[in-house]
Amino acid sequence: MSDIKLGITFFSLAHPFAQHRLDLEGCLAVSREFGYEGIELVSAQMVPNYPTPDSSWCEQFRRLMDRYGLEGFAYGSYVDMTRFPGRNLTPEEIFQTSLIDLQTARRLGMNCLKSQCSMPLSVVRRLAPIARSMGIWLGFELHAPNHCRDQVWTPLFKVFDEFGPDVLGVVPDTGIFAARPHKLFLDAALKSGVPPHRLERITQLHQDGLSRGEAARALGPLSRAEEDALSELYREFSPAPLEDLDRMLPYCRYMHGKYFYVDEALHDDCVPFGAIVEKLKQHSYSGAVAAEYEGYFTEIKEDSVEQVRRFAAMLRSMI
Amino acid sequence: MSSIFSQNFIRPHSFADVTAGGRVLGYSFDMFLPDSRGSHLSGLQNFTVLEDGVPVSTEQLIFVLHGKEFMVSHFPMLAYEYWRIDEDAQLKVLNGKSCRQVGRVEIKMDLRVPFAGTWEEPVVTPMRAWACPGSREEEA
Repeated sequence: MSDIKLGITFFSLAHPFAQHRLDLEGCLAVSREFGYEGIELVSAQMVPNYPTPDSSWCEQFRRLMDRYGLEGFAYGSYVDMTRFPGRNLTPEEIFQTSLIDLQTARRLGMNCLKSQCSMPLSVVRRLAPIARSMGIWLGFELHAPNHCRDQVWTPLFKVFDEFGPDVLGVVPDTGIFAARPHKLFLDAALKSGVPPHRLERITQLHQDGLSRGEAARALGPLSRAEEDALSELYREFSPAPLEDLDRMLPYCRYMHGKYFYVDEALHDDCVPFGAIVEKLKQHSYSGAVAAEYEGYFTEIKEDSVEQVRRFAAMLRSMI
Repeated sequence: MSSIFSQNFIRPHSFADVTAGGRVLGYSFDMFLPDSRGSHLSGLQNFTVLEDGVPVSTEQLIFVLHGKEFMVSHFPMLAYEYWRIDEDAQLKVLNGKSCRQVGRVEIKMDLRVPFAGTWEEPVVTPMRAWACPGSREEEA
């Protein structure tokens, strides 16, 4: 047994929440029932009067967290760069909106604010001392197609070093390691008209390590559906090396366990969670891995609640 | 396959006539935002309503959220009006028709994803919904 904590971001439960199948308390209740230790509250999703909930709601939220014995792992915030028509948010506006989110995180009893790497470095530098004074760790999500060695993240890691990983860091999204197509992707490709034997051939060529161009040449003439499936396959499932975790984990306290489908046998064909967890153990990682179910971007008929139950059982068996 | 973004976001059982002083001014129905998070109304673009395939003038549309009524032309200015995914908005179509007179209503809109892309290279999700108020067609 490691010190890895099992968490869930309520991004996972967006569909049942939007359909009034679960309210916020319902999300907390199923999280507790499935064995999650803590949660990420997604600001833009569930917070009344977003981005500035009133005090009574914040107090009610903290009472509910206590009632269900859950820890506040993170408050998920955004940089809504195109909120205003005709222009991007200015650095000053990004600073101001992030400052509001830092304060809200504190009011909700969270000690982590998750934001986005689109935040300008000048704003990160202004926020870091404020976050430190509030006792909040400011983490930036590293999401596909970015990786920790690219032009966005290399300078960001330098800013982390200026202030220390106790105040700034990275929130890796395990979607960057998605290596194979998941069931929902394959079902969608079949439904779009790709014949089963051709889909099998396409996925085999991808698995064999051929480039997209090499695979296209090996397949011969492609139908429109086959071409779309091939393009999406190479766009969505071109994983970063697991060794990137060696770079990220010294700066990481919280991460998203992005996944798309876990089957009845508690197996994920797409994201190599077994290998990821082994890496976390090698680094004695003691932060949280938060279930981030995204299958509803492909198929809402798949039950999100059952998927988060399966993820908890799968990850619990690994950590 | 049906993703969260391709949901039919009109509530089919919400159609009702809008009346004043005993006269039918038009009809209304409820709709939700088919997304994983809410959005400011300034993110709605190219909002179009079609009745039996014919576009309705945007000047005849009233979008109601939080008890406030907005014209479609107001959307770009509504960067502080937030539409959550768990709350319905209401659309009033004030063209003098009863909902019983309308065969099929269709909405097309584009949602600018605020946290992805930039104004120069925005990420936009097209959304589409329809309902047949007479037949009470079910949501997809």
